Amino acid sequence: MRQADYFAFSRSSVSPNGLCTAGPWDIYFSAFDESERVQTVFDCISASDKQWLIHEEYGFSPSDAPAGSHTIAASSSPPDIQKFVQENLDRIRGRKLCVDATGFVRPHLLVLLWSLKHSGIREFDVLYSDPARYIADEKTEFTSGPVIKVEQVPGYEGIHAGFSTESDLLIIGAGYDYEQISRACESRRTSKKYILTGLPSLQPHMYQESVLRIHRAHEAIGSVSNQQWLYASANQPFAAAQVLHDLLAQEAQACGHAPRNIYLCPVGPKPHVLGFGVFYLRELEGTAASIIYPFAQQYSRLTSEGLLRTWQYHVEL
Amino acid sequence: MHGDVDSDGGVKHVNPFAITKAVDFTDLQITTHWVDWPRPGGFAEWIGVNSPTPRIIVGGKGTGRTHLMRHFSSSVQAIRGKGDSVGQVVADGVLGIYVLCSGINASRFSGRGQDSDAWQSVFAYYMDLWLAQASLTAFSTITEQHKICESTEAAITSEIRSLIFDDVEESDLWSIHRLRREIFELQARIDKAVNNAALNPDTDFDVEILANPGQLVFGIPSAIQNHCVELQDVLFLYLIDEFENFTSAQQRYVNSLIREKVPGTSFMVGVRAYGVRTHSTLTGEENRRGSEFDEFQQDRKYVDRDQRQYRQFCQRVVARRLAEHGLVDNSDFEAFADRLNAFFEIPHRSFVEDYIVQRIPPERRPCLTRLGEDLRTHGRDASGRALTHTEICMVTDAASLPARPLLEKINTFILYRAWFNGANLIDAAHEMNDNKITPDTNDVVRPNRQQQSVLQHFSTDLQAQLSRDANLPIYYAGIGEFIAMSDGLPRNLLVILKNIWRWARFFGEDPFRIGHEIPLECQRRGVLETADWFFEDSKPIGVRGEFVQNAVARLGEFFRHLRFSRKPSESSLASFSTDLSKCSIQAREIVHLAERSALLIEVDRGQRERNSGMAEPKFHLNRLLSPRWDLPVARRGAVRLSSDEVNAIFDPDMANQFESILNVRLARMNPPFGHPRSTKSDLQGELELGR
Repeated sequence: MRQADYFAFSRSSVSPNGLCTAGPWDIYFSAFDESERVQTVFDCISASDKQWLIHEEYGFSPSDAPAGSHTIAASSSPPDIQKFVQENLDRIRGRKLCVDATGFVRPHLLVLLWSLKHSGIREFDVLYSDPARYIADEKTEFTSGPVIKVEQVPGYEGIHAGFSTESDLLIIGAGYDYEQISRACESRRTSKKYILTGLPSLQPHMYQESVLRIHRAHEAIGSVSNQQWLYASANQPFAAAQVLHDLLAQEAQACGHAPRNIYLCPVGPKPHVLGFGVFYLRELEGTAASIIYPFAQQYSRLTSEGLLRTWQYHVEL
Repeated sequence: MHGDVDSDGGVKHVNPFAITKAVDFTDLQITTHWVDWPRPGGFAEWIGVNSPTPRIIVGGKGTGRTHLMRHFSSSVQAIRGKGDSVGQVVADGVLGIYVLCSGINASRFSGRGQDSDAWQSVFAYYMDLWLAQASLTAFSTITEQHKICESTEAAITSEIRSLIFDDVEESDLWSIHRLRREIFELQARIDKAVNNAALNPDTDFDVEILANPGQLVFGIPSAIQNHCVELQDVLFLYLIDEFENFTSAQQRYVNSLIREKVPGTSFMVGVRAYGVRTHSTLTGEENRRGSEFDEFQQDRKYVDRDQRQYRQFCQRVVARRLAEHGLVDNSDFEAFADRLNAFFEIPHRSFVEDYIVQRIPPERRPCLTRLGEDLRTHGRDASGRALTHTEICMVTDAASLPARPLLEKINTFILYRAWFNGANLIDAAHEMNDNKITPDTNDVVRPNRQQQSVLQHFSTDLQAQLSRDANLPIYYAGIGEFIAMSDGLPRNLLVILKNIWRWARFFGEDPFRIGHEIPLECQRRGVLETADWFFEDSKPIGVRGEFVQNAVARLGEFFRHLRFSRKPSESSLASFSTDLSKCSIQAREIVHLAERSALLIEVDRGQRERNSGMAEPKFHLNRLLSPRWDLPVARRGAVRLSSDEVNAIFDPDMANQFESILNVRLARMNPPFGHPRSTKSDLQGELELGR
């Protein structure tokens, strides 16, 4: 595996007061939800062409949707967000693009990255805003309703080999949703599991909260050693990407060959989802690696309070 | 996971039960942790691994199905063979070709702009390529130490390649490895086309199918057997695990392979109970149990017909784990299996009574206080007059037995039963006084005949009520209880013990060391944590999973209320029977889904309904769930539920009626007991207690 240094990727932060001076961008997309950290940023950001995207899974009625918004259907066959990118290529190409990932449903964010890359748009900015707290602390529910299936994310389906599972890997970017973690682990029972958590967390108390939640999935996770717990700063996608890169290099060295099948499952902080996507698209496309996701029917559209700061990541695919 | 290893004064403590799933074992550990079924022939005989008839092994999560199937897989056979893998395979009589259905990522084979017929063909071909690689890998594994000569290898590969390609030259010297690589490339082409179709459903779906369905699946074993004399009488057994990952259409293809199988080849399919979607084949025929396949309900066999062996098996599994961690003598672990209770504190029979005698003065006994309040609120004489204070005191004094709280509780039960039957409570109290037995020479108060009769049937339930009265938790303790709670799922036993170990270490104990008993409280916490985990973990995926979970919670509440009523009508209640045909469709579906998820267990032969004599299905709550609702582990009495009750419990659209349905039922068990019992059929299981 080639050397990589994801820490060379650019990241900066801006306080709520400084939002209006960030950018500016030509075109800005954000996924609408009810949180202050999504709506305030949309209002303040300087971009000549701004548009809300509405995820069907949030269950907004037409009257709830802001004017000019575009609804992204839940179905992933084919993924609606890919269709949106293709229909808006002329609008996006050659312009400074910014995507606010904060309100995005995770698998749609991943497909968006894939769609942009395969449409030739390989450089753009992504924003993510830290909350002050989650509305019910460690009891905050991010999915509203049960997980309905665990499947590969379109664009992230690998060419898998073999059936002796001793060298399969499952790397979970873990967050608060223990049901998603459990279902993902159950779908890849035989894989060697790694759990990547956000540490330092978005707020100091959030690491403990996430540990309490992850513990509820401990039977599904199974027996893992301390070495199988990985850490990357929760608001640093490139640190997550670097950790993944280093892990796979280490596994290849230990076994004398690359892991047979690799499954990634980012159900943790959105910056980590971005990191998983960037890593996959830069290093794993066309290999025996997939990103899988435990899809729910609906997701919670208000999970946080407050807006602490907004991170800006410059993505290069 | 954190918490399974800790150090204490330089001594490392490792949880012997940290690994609870066979999937977490390496192939070597599958062998070293193997405990065979305690009957001649072991598991091989028990499931008929050598049988040419295909088998479908059905069971819940944690039956040990994967461990069993992997034990017979080629990679584990190679380890067991200790240098003579081929000899091991010949001794086993099978070459195990193990595949996991999850590895195929089968959900990709639908939609994406293609019709179902196209997917049927593509999936069948893909599955065959997958199984082809698996069988070649299995063959390579066992011949690794027993090299076959180049010409034999070339002859085998030539015969196999001719199934796929037209231009096979006899002079081609292909190795098995090269052939496997070639087949993988064919598979990869399909992967690319299928993956691409997800994002480009309108483009051409270009998959070239080079072999007929089943050709490789049966052709490869045939080719090997044609050229390897040693394997000619060996059964090539495809061990297909996690079958629940396939859709109905995909299962039909495997069913077709089962139906069309050829001599020398067979199938063993491992599947969760909820995962069997069809027995139909691609041609619309139906495979039948006892004909095209045998079905083996692993967990049901454990607890129905083979209970004693199951208990022995579990004891040996536990003893083996302890031996591997040096906690008992490894050479003698089977003999130690019968002595596992030595590690656990077991409460003595009079534990709760002694506690009450020491801490609750006679005048403040909760059951007597409650009886007095009930009499004040609802007590009437024959004329309908409210009982006087003197009369109430007389009744409560008759029940009072300061030295024997359990017999005191039984007395209140007898009085409540008399009340339910419309008897004169004053007369009942006088009779109670007349029947009181004076203490013997050792000052021990023994039960009279009436009390003894109640004790025989309701001892566990009334002890539980006493515990509640004393604000004591209900304890679940000892290896026998934990094995019973596993209810046919050995993994659940391991999880119980794993959690108990953790709680014991948390409280500074030294669990599973000879001479140390794990305290009751550690056992209780471990069991409760396991019950909570099982309740969450067994929830089926999807929206209906929530319905199932809520329904089982209502059922648990229902049983708890009945158990802790003033006059429980059934002993050790956690079972119900009903005529499902009269219940709503949704209720029936949820009951069946709960049963397939192992949250409910269907009892063989059901329950005969008193009036009609018809056998009705009977279910009990999985024993591991008992601690969530303070229910017993033993299963004795059963309540017959009306269709209204079943609908209110199981149908999510009628759950709002649950409270009122429950209150109607409880009205017969708590003062003023409503009307006297009118239909015997509603109280099936109630015992005649010498009225």
